[in-house]
Amino acid sequence: MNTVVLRRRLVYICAMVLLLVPLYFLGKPSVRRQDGSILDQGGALAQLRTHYDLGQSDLGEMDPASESMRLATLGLRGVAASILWQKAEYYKKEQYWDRLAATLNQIAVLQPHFVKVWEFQAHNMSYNVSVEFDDYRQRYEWAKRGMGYLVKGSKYNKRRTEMPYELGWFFGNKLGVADERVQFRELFRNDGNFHDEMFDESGLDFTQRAARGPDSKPDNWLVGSLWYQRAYDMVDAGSKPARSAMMFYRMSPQWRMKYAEAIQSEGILNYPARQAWEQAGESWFSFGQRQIVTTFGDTIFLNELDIASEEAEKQKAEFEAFCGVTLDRLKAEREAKLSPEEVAALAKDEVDRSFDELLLARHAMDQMAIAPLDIARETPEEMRVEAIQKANQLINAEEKVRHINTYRDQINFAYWEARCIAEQEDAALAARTSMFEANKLLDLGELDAALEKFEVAWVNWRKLFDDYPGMMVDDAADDVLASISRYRKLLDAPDLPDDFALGDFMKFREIHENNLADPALMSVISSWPKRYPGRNFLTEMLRKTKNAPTPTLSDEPPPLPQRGNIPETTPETTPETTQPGNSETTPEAVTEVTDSPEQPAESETADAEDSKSEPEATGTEATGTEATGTEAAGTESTEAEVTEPTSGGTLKVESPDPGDAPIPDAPK
Amino acid sequence: MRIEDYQMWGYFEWLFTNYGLLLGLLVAVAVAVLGFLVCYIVSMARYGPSEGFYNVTKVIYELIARDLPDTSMRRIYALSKLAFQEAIRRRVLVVMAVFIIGLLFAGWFLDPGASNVARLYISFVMTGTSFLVMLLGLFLSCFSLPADIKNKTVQTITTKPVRCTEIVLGRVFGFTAVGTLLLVAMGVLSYIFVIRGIRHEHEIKDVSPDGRTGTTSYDASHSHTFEMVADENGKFTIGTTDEQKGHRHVVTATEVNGKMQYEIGPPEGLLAARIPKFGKLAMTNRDGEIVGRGLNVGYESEYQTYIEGNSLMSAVWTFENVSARRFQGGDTLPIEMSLKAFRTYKGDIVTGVQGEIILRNPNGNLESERRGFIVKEFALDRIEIPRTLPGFENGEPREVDVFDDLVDEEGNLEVVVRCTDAGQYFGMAAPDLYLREGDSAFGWNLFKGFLGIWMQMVLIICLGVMFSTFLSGPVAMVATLTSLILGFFGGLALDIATGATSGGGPIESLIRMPLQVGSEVEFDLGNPTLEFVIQKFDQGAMFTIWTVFQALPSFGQFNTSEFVAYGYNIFDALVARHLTMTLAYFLLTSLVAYFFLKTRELAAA
Repeated sequence: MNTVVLRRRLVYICAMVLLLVPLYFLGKPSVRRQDGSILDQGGALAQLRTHYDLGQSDLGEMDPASESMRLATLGLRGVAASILWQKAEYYKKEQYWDRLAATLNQIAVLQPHFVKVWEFQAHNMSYNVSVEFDDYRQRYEWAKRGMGYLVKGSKYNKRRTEMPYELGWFFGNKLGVADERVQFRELFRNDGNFHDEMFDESGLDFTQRAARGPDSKPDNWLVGSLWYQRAYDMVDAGSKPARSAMMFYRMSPQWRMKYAEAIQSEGILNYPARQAWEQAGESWFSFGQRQIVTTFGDTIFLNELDIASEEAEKQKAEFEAFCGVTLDRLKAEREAKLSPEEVAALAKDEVDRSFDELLLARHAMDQMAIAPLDIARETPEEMRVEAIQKANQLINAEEKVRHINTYRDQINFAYWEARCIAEQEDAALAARTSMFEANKLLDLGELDAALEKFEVAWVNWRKLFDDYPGMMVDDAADDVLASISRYRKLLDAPDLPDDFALGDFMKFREIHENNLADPALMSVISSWPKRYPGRNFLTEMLRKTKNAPTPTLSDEPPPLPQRGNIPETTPETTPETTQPGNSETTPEAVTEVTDSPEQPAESETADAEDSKSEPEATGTEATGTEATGTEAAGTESTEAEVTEPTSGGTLKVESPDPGDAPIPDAPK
Repeated sequence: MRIEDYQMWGYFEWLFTNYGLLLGLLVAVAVAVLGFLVCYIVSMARYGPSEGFYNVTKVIYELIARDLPDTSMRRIYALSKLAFQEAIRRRVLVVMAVFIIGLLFAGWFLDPGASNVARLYISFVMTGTSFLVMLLGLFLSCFSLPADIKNKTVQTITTKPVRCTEIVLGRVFGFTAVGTLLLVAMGVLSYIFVIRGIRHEHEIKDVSPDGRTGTTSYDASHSHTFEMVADENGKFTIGTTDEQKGHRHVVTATEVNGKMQYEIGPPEGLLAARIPKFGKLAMTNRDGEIVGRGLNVGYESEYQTYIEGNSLMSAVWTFENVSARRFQGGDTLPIEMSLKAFRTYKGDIVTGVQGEIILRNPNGNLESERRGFIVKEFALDRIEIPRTLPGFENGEPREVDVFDDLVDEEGNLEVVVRCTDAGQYFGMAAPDLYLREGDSAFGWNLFKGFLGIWMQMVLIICLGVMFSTFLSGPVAMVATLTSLILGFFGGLALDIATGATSGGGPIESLIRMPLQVGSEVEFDLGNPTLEFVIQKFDQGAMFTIWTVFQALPSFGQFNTSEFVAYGYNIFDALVARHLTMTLAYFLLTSLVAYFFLKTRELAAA
């Protein structure tokens, strides 16, 4: 009996040893040199791991605590993490903050490569928990905790751009937009220990020149911008961007603009502000030079609008020349069906049309719209093939313009481009400085001096608004209105003087706030100086709206005027917003809503500002933004059809025949 | 931390006013009657009605007449020693090794940057200890007796003049001794771990030119600012830091060769054992009338309710038995509070929401002046009220003495809190404001916390030994584990049993699930008779569950580690109550174990 047992055991041992041999060769780990290059590929399993980046060391730093926890849970770490998650929710509900933080650490230890956990719970701490405290210093501490959590997560997931991207957002938005932004920015600037800790943990030096504000201390917006820059570097090294290319790359330059705005609001108005805007402008330009693959499938550069428009015009001229006889015949046939009023409306330039004429022109354009391919098919047989070819080229060229415009409009590209230039103007500096000083003097009770400064400010603001009308509907204009209100009190008169420099601006704002502003003019407000040099926006607007009838509510709202540059969003583009406000939404924000990179909205109350949605309530990252540039929000989606007024008729653009659109080079 | 009302009861209040004794007696009687009936039925089935009755009463008689009076402490000691040696042979010290390894690697999992490190460390060691000793008790108690019976080694004992009472008690005491020994070791190690964990040092970073204020270095994820106080020579020689992460340091300065040298002491305030005196909370509504609770501002948790600022709403705490001798002579009346602020608009971010506190005689004629404060959330705000302070009698200003004027003849004192910022709110629950009577020693409090864990362990050993007298080892373990789980997490089952959770009993919910009928929807099968039968059956099942729960010890109650972690002295009444309950369960389970062992035919096993 004993011999039988012994024999059986020996057989088992031999079988195990034999099985270990192929296992060894299959599972042999790869060997790397000190520089990280592979010395030995290892077994098949190791090669597969390397190929799919599945190895722990490929994902990020390995933590002994995490590994031991994973082993200790005997493969049930998912279950353990779920239980802990529920506990964390309970602690949050009952406001056991320390235990919440401890539980979140345990969850992270259990599943360190679950990126959403890091994003979600960091947001939870920085936004949801922090606002539960009344003391802004405690709020700041919790905001930092969320940031620290993200930094820790980035160490375990070294190839994921989500964490640096979110860090960029947290540093900028949480510290720079919250109701306590003045205190937060001040605390951050002087929080040397935090700067050191962050450097130790992440290697990002907050004290480097690019992160320092005018007082040579780290500025939260610039630090946020550096985090974005780190995410961009990771993409350059082969990682995937955390968002769509445009939304991903716009953030760093956008944060530089926010920095410029922030220091301006703090009264730093001369050289540092000008330099900040200059750098922001350069950064914005570089962003425009980035290649963006659109959801339509083509590749664009936001800076190449002029080139693309020229190309489209050229193609159009060629096509019209080639199909001249046929085109004239078709146009004549359609024109004959138009009423004289429609013909007259069409003859006018878009911005010169009255509201009724806009409607007439729109109807006429619909009537006159002839798709290039329809024209090509009507050409004589011997010309038809070439005509179709040219029609397709035209369609492609116009599609490209449309796509560039669509993308530019989503982020108010033109507005920010113009703003960066405008803020560097002498008038802008003079206007802001005078207004700031006037307010200060007013606070000190030096009324005459304040009055004098205000006068200077109004004149400069008027000049700035004339040159850059887009600024009349942004935050700067709101500041001006607030100061005018103080000025009015200072004058102690029921009305402003007749020669008040900003009288037209006030009228315009009234019109604008009552939604009576001419839509055609508003659609080109940001690009006005470029498109209509020599013409004054305010004058045109007041002229057009002087006798404009008050629009009556009807079942069918009047359509907005359509031109090539009028923004359109398409279902495919799923436009994203600037993650504004301290929205309490979760980082899982899946819906990316139309994004006008505007000054994120700030709510009045502290609790509403950092609203308190449950983490599950996956929300958007965009709440409460207003499209200050006006070109982004509230536009219609007309992907399939864009009408373009021509001298005598309209070409209806439809989807091109199958063919590859050429991928352009970056605009020079 | 939340201190529940039932935890604040005095010992006799619990025993008599809140039916602690009555419930215990009811459980004992119910178990006795049920046990007698079951035994009689079983005996009757085997021996007939009269002989069956005779057998049952004989066993009871033997307990009273022979086994109990003749139980020898010497034999119990000998059996306990055996159980102790057996436990050591079964390598129970492995538990100790696991605990030490846990402590060694705890630093990996615990965040040294937590806002109160001591709280985190204490919770960790006490929870870890609790789990380990309970597991230890479970394994020791469930397998010993069945293994002896199976190996027939028990026969070597039963053939000797040893009584069943002694076998049961010997096991319980022996295993308890092993557990106690380990628990003591764990307690000592825990204490050292906590002390070492919280220890940190700062150095002086900056000092103002006049030496009055300064900042410390950044260590253990925080730094302090400090302020020095001038001595009689006008030199700033001693001071304290601000409170960071729940503690302060004492700063001393000495002059050496004309230069001041500063020294920063160890952290203070982290290991406290405050003795609070809690009061009863009532609130007034917007019309100034007393109501039970305040407003809900929208939080899911209704633990705290809110009063509106700059309105007639107020929170009124009534404290009983207030006298000067309770407060170290009564030079001051220390009040500690931790209120919550809720803003409906941004307001003044920098200053914080403000309120006022008034001390009032319950007769309403005398009250102190209003003392303003700024709310300090999620931290303790201490206000020292001087014994004599300006006040009012029937609206007329006069000096009032807190203990002589504001405390009424029955020793009651009212503390009124109001929020003074219009549109902002204060949130509170009864334990959020208390009078601090003094401090107990942290070590003593930690001991009491470990005593709670010890009692949990004893209960498990008692249950395990009881089950092991009539079940095999693994089954006894499952039975004990079930009792443990139900004792810890029985809240949900109890809610179902009492109908607090909607959805019906077991049968009804089993039908609801496949029919996808929500718990709030009326149960309608289209057959009233069937519904009636199901609901009656469920009621029976739920009553059974309720009864079982009443009989089982509520293990969670015995865990007082939160008191230690949050720096509150564990009330002596609470400890006494737990000890009483442990003793009661020990007696009950020992009796049940005796009867099972007595009726078991060990020789045939």
